[in-house]
Amino acid sequence: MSDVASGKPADNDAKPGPVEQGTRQGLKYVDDRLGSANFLKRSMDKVFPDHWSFMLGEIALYSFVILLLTGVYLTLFFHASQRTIIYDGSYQPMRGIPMTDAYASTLHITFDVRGGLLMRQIHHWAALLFTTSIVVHMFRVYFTGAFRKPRTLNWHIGTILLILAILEGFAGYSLPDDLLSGTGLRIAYSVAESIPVVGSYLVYFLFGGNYPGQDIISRLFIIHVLLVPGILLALISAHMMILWHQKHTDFPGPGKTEDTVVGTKFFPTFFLKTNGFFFMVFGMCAVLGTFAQINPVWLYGPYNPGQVSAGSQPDWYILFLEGSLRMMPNWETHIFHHTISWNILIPGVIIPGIMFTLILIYPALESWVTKDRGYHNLLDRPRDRPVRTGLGVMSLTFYMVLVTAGANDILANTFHWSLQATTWVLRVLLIALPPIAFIMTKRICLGLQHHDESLLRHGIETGTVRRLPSGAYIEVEEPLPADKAEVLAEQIGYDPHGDHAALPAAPNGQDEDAESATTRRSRAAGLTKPVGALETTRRKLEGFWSEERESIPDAHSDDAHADDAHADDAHADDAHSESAPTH
Amino acid sequence: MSDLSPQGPEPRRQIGRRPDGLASPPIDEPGSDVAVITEEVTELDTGHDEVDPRVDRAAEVAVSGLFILAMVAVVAFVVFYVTISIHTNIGKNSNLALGGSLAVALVALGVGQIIWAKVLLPHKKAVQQRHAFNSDPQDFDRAADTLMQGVDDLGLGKRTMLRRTLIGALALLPVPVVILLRDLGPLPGGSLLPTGQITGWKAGVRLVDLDTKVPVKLGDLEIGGIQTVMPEGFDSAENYALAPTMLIRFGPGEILVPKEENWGVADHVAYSKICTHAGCPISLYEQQTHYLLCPCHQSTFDMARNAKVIFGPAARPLPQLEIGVDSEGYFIAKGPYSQPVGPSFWERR
Repeated sequence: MSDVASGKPADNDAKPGPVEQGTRQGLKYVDDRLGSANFLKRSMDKVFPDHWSFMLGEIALYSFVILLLTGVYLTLFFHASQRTIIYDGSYQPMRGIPMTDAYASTLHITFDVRGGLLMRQIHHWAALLFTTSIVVHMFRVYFTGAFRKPRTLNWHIGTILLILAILEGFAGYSLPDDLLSGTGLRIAYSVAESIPVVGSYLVYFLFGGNYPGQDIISRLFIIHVLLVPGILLALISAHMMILWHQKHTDFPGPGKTEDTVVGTKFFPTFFLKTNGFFFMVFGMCAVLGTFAQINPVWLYGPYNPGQVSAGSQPDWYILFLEGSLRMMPNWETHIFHHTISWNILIPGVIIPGIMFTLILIYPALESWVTKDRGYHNLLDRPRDRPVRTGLGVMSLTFYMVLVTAGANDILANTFHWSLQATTWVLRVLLIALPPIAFIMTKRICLGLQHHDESLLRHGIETGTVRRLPSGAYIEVEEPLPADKAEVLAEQIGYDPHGDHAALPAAPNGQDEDAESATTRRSRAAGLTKPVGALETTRRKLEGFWSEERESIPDAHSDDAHADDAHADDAHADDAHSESAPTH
Repeated sequence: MSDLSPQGPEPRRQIGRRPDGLASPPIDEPGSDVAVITEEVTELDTGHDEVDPRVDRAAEVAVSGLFILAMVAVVAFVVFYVTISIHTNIGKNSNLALGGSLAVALVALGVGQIIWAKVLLPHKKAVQQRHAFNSDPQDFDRAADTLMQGVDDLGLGKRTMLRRTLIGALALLPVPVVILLRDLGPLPGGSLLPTGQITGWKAGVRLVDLDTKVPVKLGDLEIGGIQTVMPEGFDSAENYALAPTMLIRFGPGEILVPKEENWGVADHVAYSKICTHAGCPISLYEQQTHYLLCPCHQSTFDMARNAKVIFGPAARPLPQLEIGVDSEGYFIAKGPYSQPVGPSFWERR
């Protein structure tokens, strides 16, 4: 292939084979009508960088395809109706029991359609995989800073995709109208009902009257199979087209620049790999659908508003809402003949509202604080952005406590803890753990930067100990390869030829030499009129954001250090605080 | 490529940014054979191309073998579909056979293609130039001018009457859409507050068992017992979603609140089973403490103290249903619930 550009190989002068002839004819047919040869050429040449974490979004995409395929099959048999019928299918324990047509047809798919149970289980597992991979993909994008300009639009689309995926999943597992899903719907009804002023109208219109009504299953069905998937499909297409147009981000490394993408071409390498990956994902869903039972609705029984089973947990992506409802103290306000149920409104509407709003606006928030409006095609390492990483881990911790709280009864039961104590501990953890997580993460990030800095200063420890003529022992340290060292130095903001100790001094705006943007801006701002409170806040936040690690203390004092800085050799030696000079 | 960030100051740190004006060579690897494929993409022969012919052959055989396996698995799927009955062993055999063969086919296809890509395809690294996303300033201005020219031609700035009437018409157009949604359901209004109508409980209605629909007689329930009851004549529980009620029998003197005792009969009391938090049916009763726990969010009610909330997110006690006994000894309701059952809502006083 490498000689394609330098002219066709000699054997191409021979008569083209049938494969080539056919391919050319097909291409010609399309090109004559659409003129797509150039587009095809550019598309096949598209370069995709290689990193395992770039497959997470692919998993989401492929599980969506699996959901469409299996979902269409399930609609062929499912009856979205709440009409009560008497079950007379082949599942003995349910014979003669009145149930809705929706539940009966789910039993029919499970026990009377060959492969029906398999499709149901693959569908459910793919749904879990869909939401999971979206969330993990989002973490990858967040922690590496891939959401920054120019990719902010895709971050917003992605966030909406996540919200829609959660709604879609909830609508989907509510359809069978079994005891578990009915309980979930009942809670959803109560959450919507708690919204002040419009709540009652909202649920009456949605459910066609008081709970459960006769309409919700058929309405959820059309939402689940047409409305939301349609929007998902449109947004996923937009997501992909934007990705295609903007080209993929990549991690920094030797030979990687902001202006290039390094990787493999789309056709044939990436195409074949990603194709294979699709079948792997589908295969894994099939393995799970075959061997791992999921949502056995026939064991739950039909929905009955008078019954509930203990230990009712929703699918994992709803668990944070369940946990948030469980953690909430029982606040309720009665005012002017009206009731505001804070105990549902806060955990069920306000908290998720704040969570998703924060996700949505985070890129704007960060660029407002840092004033970074530049383009970014190379990714950050999480450790190089301690505050962003800290905020991410903090949010993740908050979320994980909510998820854990969604299973507090299981926890209490499994470990024989008091349920009330478990709840109280989780309430405290929900408030206390996130800030701790932030501080710890930030410290760890700075510590890792320290480690990198010492790698740059000292090189890699070889484990070889050498005896000097003077009798002293030193460990031989091998410097990093120059290209790697250069990348690493840029990542952690370390200047091997200058004096790193000058950098932390930059924010005070006195140091003329420092290259920090903060410095320049605050100087510039000093010439203009006094700044407002918002800008003051922003500057404080920026100071917090750009707080650097303290440099590794050298053997010399600060005074001596300034002199050393210009002499590279001396500087390098000084860094060996524990070893004797080697020169 | 120096015009990548025309707006705003340079970010404080730019990783991998080449100095301005320096056209970036793709990769400065010594001796790399760079071949330009388009103006944008270059491919590097990184020297990993020559696969050992034996490895190449083995990989080809392995991949073909996997593809044959996929074919065999698909044939097996068809055979299993026809031969294995879904009615034996409640369909487990059929599920295992169909799912197993489908999984083998899919995984074999996937693994085969990945081996193909990893071993048999040339390992060429390609480098592609990125392009700036924002347009050339002149192009941008031309676009903006065209847009503004169009806006001017439309006269939206000058023709204020046109503009206002258009906005008015467009603003009104969604009204039919909203109006059309009106018949999605009844208005809640009156049906929320006087709850007797929607729970089905009224004076003289007998308490019947939820499952058997048999009326409950005084003495049916043992001390410490609890039973879920519905108003007599209910057809399906779904139509009476707010009706489920618990009949609880205490031991003598165990009820601690006089009002609760007065609304019951002979140590029997009846409470709504629908949690005042999120509407789950409360079901876990502890005989010794008389605590009732909701399995959904763990709201806990002290049934000996008029269903007072002692833990969890529920804010209000469960509503009590006043009961009595008719001449034949069956439990009856003495009237509807005196307050709305179930979760709170805005219109609730």
